[in-house]
Amino acid sequence: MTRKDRDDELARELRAHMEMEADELFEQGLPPDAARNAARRSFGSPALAMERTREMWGWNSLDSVLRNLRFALRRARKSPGFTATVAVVIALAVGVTTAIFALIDVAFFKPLPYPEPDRLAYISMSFETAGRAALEQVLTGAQWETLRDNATLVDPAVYSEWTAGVNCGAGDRAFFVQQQRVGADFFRVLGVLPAFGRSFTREEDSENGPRAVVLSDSLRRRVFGTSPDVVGQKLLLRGEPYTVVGVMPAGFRSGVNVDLWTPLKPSIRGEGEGSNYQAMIRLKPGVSIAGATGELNTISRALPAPRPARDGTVWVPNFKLQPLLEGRTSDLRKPLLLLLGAVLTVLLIGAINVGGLLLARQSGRAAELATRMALGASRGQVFRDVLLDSMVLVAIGGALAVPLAFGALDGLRWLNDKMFGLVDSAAIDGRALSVGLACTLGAGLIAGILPAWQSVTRKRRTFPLGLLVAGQMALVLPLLVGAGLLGRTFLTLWNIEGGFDPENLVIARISLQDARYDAAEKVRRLFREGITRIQAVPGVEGAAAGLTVPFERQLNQGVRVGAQPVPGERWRSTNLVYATPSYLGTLRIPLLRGRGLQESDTETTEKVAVVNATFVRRFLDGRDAVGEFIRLGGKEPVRIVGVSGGTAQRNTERGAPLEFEPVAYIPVTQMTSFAMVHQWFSPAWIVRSRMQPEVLSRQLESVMQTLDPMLPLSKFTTPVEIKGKTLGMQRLLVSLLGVLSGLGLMLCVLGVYGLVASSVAERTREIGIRMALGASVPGVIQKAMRPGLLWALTGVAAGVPLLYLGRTVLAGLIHGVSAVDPLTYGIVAGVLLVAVGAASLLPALTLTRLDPAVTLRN
Amino acid sequence: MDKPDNERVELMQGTLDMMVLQTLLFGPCHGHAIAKSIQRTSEEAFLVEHGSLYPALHRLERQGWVTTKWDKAPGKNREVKYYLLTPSGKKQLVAVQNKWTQLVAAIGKVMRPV
Repeated sequence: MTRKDRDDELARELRAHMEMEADELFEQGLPPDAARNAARRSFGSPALAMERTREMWGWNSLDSVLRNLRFALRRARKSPGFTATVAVVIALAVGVTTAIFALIDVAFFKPLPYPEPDRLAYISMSFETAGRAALEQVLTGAQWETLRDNATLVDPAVYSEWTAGVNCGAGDRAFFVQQQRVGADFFRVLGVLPAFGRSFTREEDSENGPRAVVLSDSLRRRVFGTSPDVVGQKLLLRGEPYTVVGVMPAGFRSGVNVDLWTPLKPSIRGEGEGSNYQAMIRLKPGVSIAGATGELNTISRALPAPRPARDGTVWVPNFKLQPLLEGRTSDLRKPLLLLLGAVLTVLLIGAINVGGLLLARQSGRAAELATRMALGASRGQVFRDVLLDSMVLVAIGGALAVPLAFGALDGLRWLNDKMFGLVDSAAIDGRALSVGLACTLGAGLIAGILPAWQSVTRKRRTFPLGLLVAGQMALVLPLLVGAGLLGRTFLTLWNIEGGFDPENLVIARISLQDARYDAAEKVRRLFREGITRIQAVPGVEGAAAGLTVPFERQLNQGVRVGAQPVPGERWRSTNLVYATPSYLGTLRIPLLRGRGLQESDTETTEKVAVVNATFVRRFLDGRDAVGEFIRLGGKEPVRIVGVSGGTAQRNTERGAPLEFEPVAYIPVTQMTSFAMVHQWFSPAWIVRSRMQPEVLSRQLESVMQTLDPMLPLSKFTTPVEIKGKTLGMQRLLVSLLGVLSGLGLMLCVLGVYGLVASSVAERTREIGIRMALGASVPGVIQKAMRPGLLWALTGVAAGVPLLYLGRTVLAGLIHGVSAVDPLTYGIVAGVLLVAVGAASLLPALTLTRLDPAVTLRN
Repeated sequence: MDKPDNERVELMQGTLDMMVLQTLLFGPCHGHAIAKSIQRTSEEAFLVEHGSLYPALHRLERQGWVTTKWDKAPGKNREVKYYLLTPSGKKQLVAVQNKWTQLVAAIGKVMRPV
């Protein structure tokens, strides 16, 4: 039986029933017409009976949902402005949430693209002393060997996280590529073997072993095209011939952007003396994390000597395991969670706002809903329909959010360029879209529940509307304070002068990781001749070369004060910059005492250094440093000949990302070995000129061509760009949080506006009467503004506890500013007051145009 | 003939189904007759509304406790839908009757005047 048949039959049955009733009444003596009417009256609503009976058969709910969906869509079309407002609000919030979830997914949940990624972990060194612990993700050569020689439950691999740009020659072509150095077991432990060829042998991974290289698939294509015979081919890396032994599969990533891998050749000497290695492990089959941790604790006892701590105790070293995914994304987790929290807050504000809009619109539908209830619609049905209305409006926004999410992810990519390695692997996929859908449904429910409830009760309307405004204000408060604190942090860091003159400076890097520049004398000559030729270019005011420039990360170097070793003396950590004599002058770093580096400082004269003011303050107690001796790494004492002003550097340790750090400048002529530092750093040409940067960079390129055609210059950059890169995460956070809190504030303003406008509209008559009776216009306006101001301030007060929550999220992300920075709070309070005041005043101002006479007549 | 509203008793949930089954025990009946019969037997204590009766009838049909057939009403030139008790409907009636008797007895004990 089809449902149409059943419906017809039911109608027939009911009709027959009614007729029989009429017959009976007729037989009792009523005239036919009266009998029929009485029967119909006693019958009640046949439609209702049919409806209820239909529900018995279960068709009704789906049917009515579909029908009501059509109505809801029609209503949405009828008020395009309203629909568009809601859709835009929801689309923005859901779209950004989806994009940020795509990042969160990669950082927290998605397994890494290696076989059995749960069995992979990083090895960190934890140093423990009375109640304190410090964790470092770096190992020395000796620590690595202890691990390698004793571990039985885990399969360890050593590598260097540090990648370097190097020159790669293939035939007559040259490429600037990113190189990473890895141990022989690296690929095997990760579980991904080369697609062609093999990975490194032990022999290749030992000192003086054959020079071998493994290529990424994309570099293979760039260099060799589609030719399959790649293994065994020769490449020139840093001017030395290397044999290609393998090619990794397409899409393989070792965590950083890398074009080729070479053997690490780990050692306990050279770079292995310092903490310059990273290690990871794979649990052997059947071994648990706990089991491996137990073994590692035992092995740790065999580690080389503990370090003395400042308070006389010792730091006891211990191997620690950290899941690979967690370790790889540890510095991104906090910012991402902050962003997710912010965007969800905006979504919640948006949903509440839509709820308010629906509620306000509801008053216009009151008559319609009352009629439907009178005609027999049940409360449940009305409730459902109103909820459906909200769902439909929000769903339109949700649909728009999909393209927006793709755009937002691209935007995030653009905003942070290389900083999040993980953005590359993030995608708006099924998982992200499901989260978007869940957000949309949640927003629809939150937005619709109050209007739906309101539609079936008969309470006054202003109460929930005001409550909604208060709720939004409470939520926006931590958002604004957070954005304010991050903004202040960014500005504080951005306004750091740096201690030099960043105007009219151009910086170009050259990779000297090149066999032809292994000899120190060649490096010195390159710099000497290069600077002479650059200075000869018309318009160039100064030229210098140095290992690094301010605002970027510097070379760390152990330093001890005094010419002779003293028992119990401590290594301190400074930054080391080798420089040409023109370095300080070109950068315009002021010389405070003594002299600068000079041409007369050569490899044969006394070793000298210029240290900066931060160095003097931190290591020499601020006394006159000129004439004092320090030892940098080696035993040979170095005389301090001058003190320069401090400069701001990129700080990768805890604390602010840009800070004044101690620096020792030494003459490039007195560097004995460049091999190690050039593996990590590409030195910089620094040129001061008022020329257009494009013109200048062309000039410099041709100069370098005459100097050494095989030495390509990397992109030209400026100190401001370097600073921007150093503060990239801060910039990203402040711009995103700024946009989000602005959006949240806008929604709140809309809410307050709506509240005051609707209360004014509702009370126009009453106000008109008051004014006719002599109430003053300012007084009336003040009164009309009151609900807006009161509810908004109540909300702000309610939001204060949320600030504590926000503080824990922000800890570690704000620098140079107190978490209770009065200026930030003052600005936020001012912005809120102005916004809320304006939002309350504008609708109240319509009262000035109110003509009491007209109002009374109406 | 109608009782004033305040002497009417609200139907307890589920009792209408039971009374419909009981009514059909005496033979096939159409909706109108069922309603009248319940009203009459209860001495007008229950007013069976159509909005409740037909959902109940269709509920019983869906459960398989009654079947239906269209037939001429006696002495009228009109087809009406008759409801017939099925064997499983009879079993259901016995079951609910037992339950009902227990319920009434139990409530009676509690509500005995002191």
